[in-house]
Amino acid sequence: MKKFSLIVAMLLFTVSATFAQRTVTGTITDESGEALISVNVVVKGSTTGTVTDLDGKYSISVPDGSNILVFSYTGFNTEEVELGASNVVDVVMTEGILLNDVVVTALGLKADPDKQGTSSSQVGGKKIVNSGETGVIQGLSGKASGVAITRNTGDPGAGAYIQIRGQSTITGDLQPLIVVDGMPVYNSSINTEESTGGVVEQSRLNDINPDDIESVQVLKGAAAAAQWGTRAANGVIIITTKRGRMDNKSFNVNFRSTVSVDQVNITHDLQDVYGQGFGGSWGPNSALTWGDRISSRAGGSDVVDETGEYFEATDGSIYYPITEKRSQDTYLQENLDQVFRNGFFTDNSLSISGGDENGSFFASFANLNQQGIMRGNSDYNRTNFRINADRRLGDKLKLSVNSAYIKTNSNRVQQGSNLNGLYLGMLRTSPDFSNTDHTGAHVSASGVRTERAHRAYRDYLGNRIVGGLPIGPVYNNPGWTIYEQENTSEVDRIVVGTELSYDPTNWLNITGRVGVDNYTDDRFTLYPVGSAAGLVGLEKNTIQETQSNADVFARASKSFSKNFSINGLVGFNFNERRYDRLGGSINSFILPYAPANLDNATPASSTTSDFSSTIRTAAAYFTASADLYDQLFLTVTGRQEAASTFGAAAQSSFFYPSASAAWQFTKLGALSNNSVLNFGKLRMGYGVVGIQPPVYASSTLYTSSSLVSGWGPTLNAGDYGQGSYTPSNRLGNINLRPERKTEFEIGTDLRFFQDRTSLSFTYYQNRTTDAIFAVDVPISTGFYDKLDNAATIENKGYELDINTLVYKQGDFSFDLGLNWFRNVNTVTDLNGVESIFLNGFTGSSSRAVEGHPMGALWAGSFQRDDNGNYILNDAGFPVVAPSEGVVGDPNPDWRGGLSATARWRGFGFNILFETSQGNDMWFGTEGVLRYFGTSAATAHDLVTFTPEQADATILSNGATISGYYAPNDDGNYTVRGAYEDFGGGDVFLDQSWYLANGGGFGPVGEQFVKDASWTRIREMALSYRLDSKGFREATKLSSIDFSLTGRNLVIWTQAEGVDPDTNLTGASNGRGLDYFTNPGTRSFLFTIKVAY
Amino acid sequence: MRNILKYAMLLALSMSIVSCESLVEGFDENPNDPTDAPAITMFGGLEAANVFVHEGSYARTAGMWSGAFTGSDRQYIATYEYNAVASDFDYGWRDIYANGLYVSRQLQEKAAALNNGPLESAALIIEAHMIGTAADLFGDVPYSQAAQPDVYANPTYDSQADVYTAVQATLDKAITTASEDGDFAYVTRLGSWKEVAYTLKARNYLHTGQYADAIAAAQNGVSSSDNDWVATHNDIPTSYNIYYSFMDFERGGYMTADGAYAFSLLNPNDGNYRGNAKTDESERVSHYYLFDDGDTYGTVDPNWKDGMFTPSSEFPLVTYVENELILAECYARTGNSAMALDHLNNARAAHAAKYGTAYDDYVTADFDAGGMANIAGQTADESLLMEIMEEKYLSMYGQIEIFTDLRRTDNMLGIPANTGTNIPERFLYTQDEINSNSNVPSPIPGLFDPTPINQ
Repeated sequence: MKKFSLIVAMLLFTVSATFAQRTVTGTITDESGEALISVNVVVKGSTTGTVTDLDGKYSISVPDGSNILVFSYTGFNTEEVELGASNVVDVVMTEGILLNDVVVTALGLKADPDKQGTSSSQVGGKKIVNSGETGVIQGLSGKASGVAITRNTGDPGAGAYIQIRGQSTITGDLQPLIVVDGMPVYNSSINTEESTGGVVEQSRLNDINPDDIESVQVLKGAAAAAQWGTRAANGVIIITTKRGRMDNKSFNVNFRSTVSVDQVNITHDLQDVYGQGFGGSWGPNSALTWGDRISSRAGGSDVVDETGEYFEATDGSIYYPITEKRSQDTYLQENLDQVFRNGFFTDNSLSISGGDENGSFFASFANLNQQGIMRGNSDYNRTNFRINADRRLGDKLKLSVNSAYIKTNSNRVQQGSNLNGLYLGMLRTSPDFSNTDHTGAHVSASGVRTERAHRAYRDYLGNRIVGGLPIGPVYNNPGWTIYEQENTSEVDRIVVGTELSYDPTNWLNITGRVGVDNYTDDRFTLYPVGSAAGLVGLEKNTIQETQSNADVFARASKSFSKNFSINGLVGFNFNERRYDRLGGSINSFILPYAPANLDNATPASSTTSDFSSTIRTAAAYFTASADLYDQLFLTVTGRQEAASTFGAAAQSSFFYPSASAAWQFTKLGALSNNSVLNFGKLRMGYGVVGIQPPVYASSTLYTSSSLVSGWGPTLNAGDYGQGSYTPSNRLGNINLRPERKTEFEIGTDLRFFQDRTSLSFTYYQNRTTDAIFAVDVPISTGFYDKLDNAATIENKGYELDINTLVYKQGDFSFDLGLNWFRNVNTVTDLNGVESIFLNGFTGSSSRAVEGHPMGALWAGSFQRDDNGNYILNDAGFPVVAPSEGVVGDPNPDWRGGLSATARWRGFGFNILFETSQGNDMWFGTEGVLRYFGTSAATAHDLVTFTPEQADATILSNGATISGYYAPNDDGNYTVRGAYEDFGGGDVFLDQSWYLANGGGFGPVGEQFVKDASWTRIREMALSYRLDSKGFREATKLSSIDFSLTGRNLVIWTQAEGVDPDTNLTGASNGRGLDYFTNPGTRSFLFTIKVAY
Repeated sequence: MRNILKYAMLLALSMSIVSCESLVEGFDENPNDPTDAPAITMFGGLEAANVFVHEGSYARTAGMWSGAFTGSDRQYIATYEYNAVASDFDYGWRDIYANGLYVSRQLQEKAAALNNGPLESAALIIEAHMIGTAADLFGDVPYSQAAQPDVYANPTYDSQADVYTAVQATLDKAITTASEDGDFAYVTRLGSWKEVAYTLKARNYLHTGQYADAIAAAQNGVSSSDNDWVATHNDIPTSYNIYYSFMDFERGGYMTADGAYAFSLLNPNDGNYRGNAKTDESERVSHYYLFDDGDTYGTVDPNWKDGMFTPSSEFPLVTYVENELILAECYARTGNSAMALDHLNNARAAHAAKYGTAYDDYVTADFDAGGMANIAGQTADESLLMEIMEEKYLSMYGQIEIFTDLRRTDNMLGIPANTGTNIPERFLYTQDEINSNSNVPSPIPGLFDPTPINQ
């Protein structure tokens, strides 16, 4: 260190001794008063130059005869300043028209994008607010290349999934690391229920108030993110929140208010031609809608038996047993209206900021109050407080504090594969059944009255009653799901970070950061007495996560000449994440309608659950960079990291290096001052990042013995006296080490026509080795699986961003922005395992399969010969292939966003198209609705067969029509169905086909895996700003903005019944699944913003 | 100043590299679950696995393929119609090998170390019960190399004959290890572990056609209905009778008994009714089946409401009636019809005691031509064997054994196929095992390929 200092000093001395004539010093800041680092300062007409240091300070020797200094910095307008008498020149640089993207590094430090050898995307806070999305993640959609966002559903507060440059782990977390103001924070989306059922959970990143965000920087590649080691394999999203300005004159108040109306955007296509029943006959309480043709009924009112039992709905409507079905009424619209409405939210946010030369503050308050598109218990309420403050303590010390408190309350609606879920009961309902009266009293033939009975299409009299209490139908009436069941979540969260920055000399800075992110999520689920399938009970869970993080780093920066400067950084990071979940559930009530309390049950029907974990990570890191000849920029970083999750027999710490280079080739003589290409840069990056093993995976555990089969039955040895502990089904592995992802990227950034057009292109390829997954071991070894570092995954892709100011004349301007990206993912090695289940169902799932992209859709299919023709049975029906396989790929071939913005005077218009092409989806809902006969695809005409034809026509189940159906009075057979030719001549598809191989419960999932490409108008907004001088003087306000925004206004897709930008299993590793997933939404918003 | 800085930075650097590791040490220990448990604490889990194998999905499938139950909804229609795929069999296999055999082996080792013979013996008996069933259903299965993950990563499949031999050896070891009967059983209830071991030996000898050995073993088998080995259940969902849990609680309507052959034999109103002057099935049929009742999912359901499959109904694993009927069949097959008849009557007497209706003793003449139990065109001996087999088919309602008997006897009772003319001859090797065990038999036998012993 001493030697190094000496060399530096000597070099400095040499350099300054040579040129000293007149020394000018100063500080360069941006408009908010923030120091700008590495601003180029050049004496005009000479080769003399320097760059600003970490405090934005510079010192330059100006030769005699020169009197103009040129200050240039990417993203800012170049300033030329004529020197006067003073030797101190401070400059406030203003942001350029198009390129305002100062980048931040992995540590949250500002940097010059033109010197970066890696690509990253930046999204301004305004763009997120203007998206009309209530969550930050959703607000990023379509705005950055290489970043794909998928919503879980359109439920209020629903989380979303972020994918950066493809999936690079199999079973590890796929979500990027989120760093807010230098401090890693949670983006958990914790599902305590089955991932294919239950409610849609939130993503914790959406706790942040979008109005607090200054900018979002997405570090996509390993080279940019390597500083975060095993947390960085899925990329890093660096969020910078707003701060007050340290300029002694500003005091700003901003207020924004938005109201939004939300609607379902895509619904399922249902038939209303045939009624409830089976085999062409009406059948009350039948699960199926393979009944009679509704228009063939007698008409008028049903004939009912008023002498015995009846159901009295809450509104007094009486339902008697039907003895003859005559009514031709159908209720598709009514049943839709029972559930859906116009959702609504109000979003108000207020911020105050200000400061003087010694300090600044930013304080904000925001409240979002959303009522979902589903009536009943579907809402989301988020309240945010934030205070960010900075204070200088003398010249050398600066203290910053960021603090946020967030409170969210929400009530969710059950979805998915779940007899108590919304869509499952709703979409299976026969069209001739009205769901309107979901609850009331049942009165038996002998006059016994049972209150709070549950009426649904499978129990139209609500008479499933045991021991005087309703036990509910097989599926919920959707009214029951949304009004009677409750699923609340209440989150209290505090995020606090402090930073102390110390500048002992002008070339050295030492920064210390300490922060804590803590939240508690109290969840509560109530299935009141009478819920479907006898499911009764209450579950409470308290989930708490606490993340503590500390960084200490020292930065040194030295400019030896215009042609050579270096920056160095060494630091230390400590991170601890603690997770606690404490829960209890009961599955019976002593008092059926008492307040929801876990004490209201016998001990035998009560269970508790308890889990906690602590993960610690500690690391030392460094960065070194060199600027050569103001055109070649080299950076190397390294991180040596240890974590508590590594197996005891594995190495205790691992090294994560990165290197990148940027070359501004347009600074070469021949290429400089080109009027078309005014800036060009080639860049290259290489980096290694990792993913930690799951916590506590290194030893074989003993767990409380409880057996569950795929069909649901459970046998818990704990219910018998003394209970039992047996070895778990997963073999421990003491050799577990982190997954390693190595990435190489190369790209270019070009700007044309004085920065009016910019183009950025990147090619990358990355390879994850040692990917951890539960390697299935032969069950006959005594275990199901063993976690091991066994898989290899590759991603290759291209990213393209183009932004151009197409036209600007006077007050009118028109900008276009395009981002396009393609990622090709391949699971290259699975250690000989054929496939790994990621999520979904037995029969149709999303898996990792060797030689296929991650998440490949896997299902049964019809058997085909080498030419792809169906292999048929004797009757001409296709036969089922003996084994399942890959039938689709949920990953898009490419995605893109196209935005256009026009401005004229105070008016603004922008539109954002987003598209995803070539992604497949498993439409499990549609498949099952075919089984039930409610799908519009099953509304086949009636076909009449003579007795001879009926004897000769063989159905898919092997029976003849005459053997399977009852004849008409005239001896003929009339059957709902259609002919189809599978290659062996026409065969007749009737209910027996859909109930078996042709429906969603059959073994052939392949039929329901289809292309789910989509293109949509993601956002469209029209705005007007009032900020004329007269207005400002009259009102003392600085501006008022009005805007009308629509999101998801139009969607072009062939997806069946569901917005393909959703996923049943949420932010899990299983992709492209639909099974009674709650719907997506479109919205219309009106916003007013007032600035003082 | 410089010095302070220099030292601070050096300190930071060295601290980071040295202390990175010490800062994370000790945080890899799981605060939630232990890494070991004593033998006796493992026993309930082992019993539960065995119950899950014999009362769970395998038993339902076996019953559907033997005319006892009917798949009526969703995936069960496909299974019922023999459209089964390898993954349909994953769950039972997991219970046999991972939740069963491996646990049993660990338990045996710990019990032996404690010199706890009865406990070790009980674990051996459960092991034999499960592996015997695996051999019955799948033919060749892993046994000699199974459940030793550190030694055999891909256990080989022993021949079915070798597995039966090994199972007999396991049972012999159980019998000799236990100097006395242990009184532990948590998830199940039984009279004597030793008696169970002998009946299991008899069952396996019967399957391998070693009738004399079977008789010898059965003579020490379960000695009375009170000593039956049964799974017990509670009125709470996590320990409901598994049939109940499936048929009503979890998957209402998936499995009924619409058109079930066994129902037709027992239903006094059916043309197929087997009752006669000495045999009144009117109570047994209501115990087995629910019909003429508004709560059924089908027209007829296996009785989940007030019969054999209520939430807390016990489920038979190894019974006195089976033991007697093994004896009856073995005597009949070895030409001793007098003894055969005695043991058949013992089984019938047990029914009479249980159901309270007539199951009067048959006499030899009942099987002669013109006798009430004679089948037209068959000899007395043939008729007696048919009666024994039919009685066993009905007595072991709900158990996997009826499917094994059906295949073993080439369906001598003429139970109709659910579709086509053939009844499956085996279960398919599981998808789990196909995916991960390089020693899985190749080519994989199909559903209609008999296991070696039935070839």
